[in-house]
Amino acid sequence: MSTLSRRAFLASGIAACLGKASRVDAMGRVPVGGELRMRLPWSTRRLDPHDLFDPLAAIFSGAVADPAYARDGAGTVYPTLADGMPRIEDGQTVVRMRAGLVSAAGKTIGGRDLAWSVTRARNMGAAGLLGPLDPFVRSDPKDPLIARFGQIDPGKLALLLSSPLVAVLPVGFAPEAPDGTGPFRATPSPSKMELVRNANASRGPSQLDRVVVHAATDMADSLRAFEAGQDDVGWLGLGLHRDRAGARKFGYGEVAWVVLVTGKRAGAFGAAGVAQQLANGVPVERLHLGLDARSDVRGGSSWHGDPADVLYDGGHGQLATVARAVASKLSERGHELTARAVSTEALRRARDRGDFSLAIDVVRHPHGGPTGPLIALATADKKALGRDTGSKPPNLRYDQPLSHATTMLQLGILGGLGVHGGVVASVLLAPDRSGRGVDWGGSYKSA
Amino acid sequence: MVVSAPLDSDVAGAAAARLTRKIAQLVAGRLGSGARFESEPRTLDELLGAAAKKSEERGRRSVPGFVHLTPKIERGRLHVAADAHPVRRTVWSRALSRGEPGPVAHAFAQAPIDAEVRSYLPAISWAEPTVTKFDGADPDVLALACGDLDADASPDVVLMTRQRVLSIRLKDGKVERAREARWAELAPVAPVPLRQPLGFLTIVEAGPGAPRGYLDAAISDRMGSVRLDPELGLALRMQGKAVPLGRGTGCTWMSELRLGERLVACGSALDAVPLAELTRKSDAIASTVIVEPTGRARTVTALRDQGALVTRGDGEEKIVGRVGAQLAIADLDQDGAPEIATTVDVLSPKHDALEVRTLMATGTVQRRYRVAVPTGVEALAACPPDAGGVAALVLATHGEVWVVR
Repeated sequence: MSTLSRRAFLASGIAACLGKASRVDAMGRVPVGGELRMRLPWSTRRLDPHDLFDPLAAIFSGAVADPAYARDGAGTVYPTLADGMPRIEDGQTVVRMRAGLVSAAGKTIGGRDLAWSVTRARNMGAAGLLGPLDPFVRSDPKDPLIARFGQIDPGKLALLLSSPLVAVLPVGFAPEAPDGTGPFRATPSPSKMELVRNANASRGPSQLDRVVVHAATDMADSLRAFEAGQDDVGWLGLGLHRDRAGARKFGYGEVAWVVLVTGKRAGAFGAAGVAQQLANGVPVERLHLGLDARSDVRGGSSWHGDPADVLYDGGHGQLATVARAVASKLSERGHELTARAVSTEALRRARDRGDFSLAIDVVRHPHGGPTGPLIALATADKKALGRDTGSKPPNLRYDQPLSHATTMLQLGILGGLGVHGGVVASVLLAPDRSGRGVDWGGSYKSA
Repeated sequence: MVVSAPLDSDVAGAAAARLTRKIAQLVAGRLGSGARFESEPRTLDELLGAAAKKSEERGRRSVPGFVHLTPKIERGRLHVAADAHPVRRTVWSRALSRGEPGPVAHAFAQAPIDAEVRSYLPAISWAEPTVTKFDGADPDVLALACGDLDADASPDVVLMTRQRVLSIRLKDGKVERAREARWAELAPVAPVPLRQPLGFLTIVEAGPGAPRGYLDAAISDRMGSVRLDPELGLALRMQGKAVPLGRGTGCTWMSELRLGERLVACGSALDAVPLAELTRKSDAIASTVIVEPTGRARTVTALRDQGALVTRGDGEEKIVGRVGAQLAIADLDQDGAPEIATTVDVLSPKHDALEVRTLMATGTVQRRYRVAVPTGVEALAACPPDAGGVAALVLATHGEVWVVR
């Protein structure tokens, strides 16, 4: 006799299906959609996650690209694009990428892209950071998901690969049309950068539909537009003349430093450590330069060399303000300094050759542990010095102010490039898990 | 002849005779044209005695056997055992057998009480809910399920986090971990996960076509879905995300950060013939079969579309209002009208609450109760009836599991 099957006795699946809201934010779900508008006193012409000197990348690299690993605020390294932590196979440390990763432009991302990205990053901004790495990194001909790194401790490798300066980019990446696995797809241009949700995002598409970042001529431009209600984010403040009604402050740490660099034409002022003394002579803390203040500033001097130019990248409105202030504060009669805007390429050439007296530049925070900042600054001074510092970090107290550690560099810290300002009430800018900067993908706007 | 024993019920005031007669009538109907049923309940001894006496009276002529039903209502479930008994035909067979023969066939079925069965029992009235709390749960629970997974006639509770699926016991104020299955071993990471994950757990109880119950689990962090057996062993990997549909599940795919609009049979491809067309994308979904007092059954689905609660059933759609991210649907008082349990669409956990409302047949919504949950509701599930009174809801909040009834 068969089992009774009348409907009253039918199996009754008790259905429970639930969506979970982020514990950080809401018991409804975080809203999906909306557009964020802002303007920044930085060039929006290009974005290169591997560029140590790119301020736009300092702020938005995580919006477009991801490293293979990441490090949270407690220092724990965890896999993001990688499938698990690095492991040793046949005497080599290998990293396996997650299957099925695709860039915003639809390119498959695998071991070859990781190997290419690491090589490119080592030739660019991560030259010092990747100093401990074996010179050759290559993909595996038999397994397209694997990249091989020679002999290196797996934990150390994961830490090195967690720097945003070593983001995984598709082979052939171009900073004028940046492609990556991040929550957004970027379209930079001289007037603005548009970030549009990336449906292929390897760590999850953005909550926002779009972020539009206009290139502002200076800091006042952003604050004026925010105060007038044109923008959702006020960069570095809540308004120009008065605070915008209903706006809230946000502050997510420093993502870069603005530095003063001395070159071959600085003469005696080009000696190691002098750049920091000159930088200390600029009272950044009392001037409205949009820089985060340094702590424990010691000493300071003026320029006593020949009249000279202070070069800066003219595409960055904020650097114009800083350069003019530096020139003004360090000049003395007969030893005048003049701020001079040059193109990005010209500044890079001058710096590579040392063919300048003074220059203002931006150096990105590399993350990568307590020695990371000094390695990045050393790399920004000279790549070879960065590699030496990365391979064998000096025995310093890394909990002291960074401006005390630049005594061996021809570079001095003027102040931090902080991520702070004001937002309208309907916007929540999510903090990056590293504790530094904004998680643009997790940020949202309620209706 | 189909005859039922008297009803054994832990619910007082049952219209026992009417219910047993109805059960006997339905079983006789299923057995075919030759079967009849008796209106009055009788014990097995009475039946065997009567059959023996008839057999003697008829001599060698055959006496039909009978099917004896043993209905029982216990802890919110109706259990029916059925035994087919022959009757010994000759004096010799009776003399040699030394007693009456046992049944030649046996069957058993059980199911939670629904509105049709409840119509033979006293109606359940709503009272102020009681909340029992159990601590020691995993933090950040994504989904909960409550149902009889292992067919032992008592409800099981399963929870899911981003790391694992865990069956738990709620005992003496504590959450005890019984079995676990880790996501890292169940499914690879999804190429495109969601930043704010979605998770779904559905217990499908044992029944025709499914001799053992199973648990379908899906999370946006991982590829597809998995089907787990009652021991939380991996039974099947499936494409698509398994979400509740009626008493089972259907599978859909993520679309623009939300659940898609079409449900197909789990195990099928995206372009298979759909089981259901929801016509809306959603970020939360609950579904069940509602049985009316007449016995008519219909599937009712509730989903959350950009904060709005939308119910679908009998081809009709109704927008109820704004709700939070957690949903459950069940006939908690077994009256044939579904209750929808929701949370509140707020930006701060301290303003969150569990709200239970009934969707009346007239189309109105009647609020039943609200329980504040100031630590925020992470996950919510409806349990089957397990005793007299309104069926329980279980919710997860900040390291605790609450049972609300």
